[in-house]
Amino acid sequence: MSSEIVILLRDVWKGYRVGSTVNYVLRGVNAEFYKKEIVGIHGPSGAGKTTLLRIIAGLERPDRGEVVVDGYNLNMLDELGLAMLRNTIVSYIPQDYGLIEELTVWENVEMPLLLAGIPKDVREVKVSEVLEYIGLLSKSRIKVSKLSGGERQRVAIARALVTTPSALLADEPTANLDWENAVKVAELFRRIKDDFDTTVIIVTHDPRLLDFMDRSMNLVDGKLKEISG
Amino acid sequence: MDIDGLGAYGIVFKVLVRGRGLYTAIVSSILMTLLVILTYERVSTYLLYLMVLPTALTSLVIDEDRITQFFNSGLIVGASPKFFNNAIIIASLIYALIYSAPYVVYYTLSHDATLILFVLMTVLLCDVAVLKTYLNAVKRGVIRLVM
Repeated sequence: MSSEIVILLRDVWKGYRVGSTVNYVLRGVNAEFYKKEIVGIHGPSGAGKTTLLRIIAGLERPDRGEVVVDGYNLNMLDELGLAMLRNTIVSYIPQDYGLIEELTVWENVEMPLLLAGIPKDVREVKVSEVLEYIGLLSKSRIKVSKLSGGERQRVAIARALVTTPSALLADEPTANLDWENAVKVAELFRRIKDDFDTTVIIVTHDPRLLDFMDRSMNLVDGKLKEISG
Repeated sequence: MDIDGLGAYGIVFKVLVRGRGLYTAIVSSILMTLLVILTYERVSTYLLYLMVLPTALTSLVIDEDRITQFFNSGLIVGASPKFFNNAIIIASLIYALIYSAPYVVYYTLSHDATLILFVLMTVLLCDVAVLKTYLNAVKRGVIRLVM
């Protein structure tokens, strides 16, 4: 872990309107995430973990507060700026993986590079490298709809890594896995943060997963609190 | 056609071609064209106008899951708003072109060549406008939390 801050959250508030009232799930979140560390954010369902992750990924705007990712203040970015951020700096893996079922493994992983306008020869090298790393090169021509849940997850991880992002955000990556496979995924994310020099943030409702993290935080009452020890 | 040569827009074609909606659209258009030939000068042209648009929309709705996945996935990996807009126009235009066949046949049968281009343009504009509205609604559903 280095001392270089990759993600900075300052007094982040986010609420959702229910009828005439606003329910705030995030109530002044403050946090710093450093380069090449893996951080687990734990909290019960509905605590706002996914919302927090989506705000860092630029998929949602906070009602109040500041989010700085790799030097970019997200409040200052327009829709195009946020899209470019997601394309090159932050990779987000949603709980449902967000893949296109009718495309092959290769096509799904290649998608961010196509959108970035990367030339074909460079794309081919990057996609094959990341698929080899993730262990899916032999299945690169298979449609995602034909894969198992675990394999789909690895495709989503490969797609997230292909742009070598500064930060990788994973939403409940072990939610649908048994404990043995959950450990494998946690170990994979640990390897990724070293091999790709990236900051990994994982949100989970499973406290056992926190043993695999460099640091762990609890999202309670809309605030992030570091778990010591 | 080398779809890979189309860059990011190749994804739009792949999603459309591998869906069921496009084939449904082609089959529907062929059937409607046959209907136009069989009922020529026996059925009002207004009926023709009325039947195509809902059919076009219905065949597009068949692929709603895939279209939703496309927008969702695109959003996650950082597709630009311009890319989404162009993708919507491309998809709408493909469907509109497929469903223009009955009109082209009708006005070819009527030997009114001057009208063909005019009608074709009108049909394409109307279809594209309606299909775009539908696709934009799906897109808004996916990105409603953003911005």
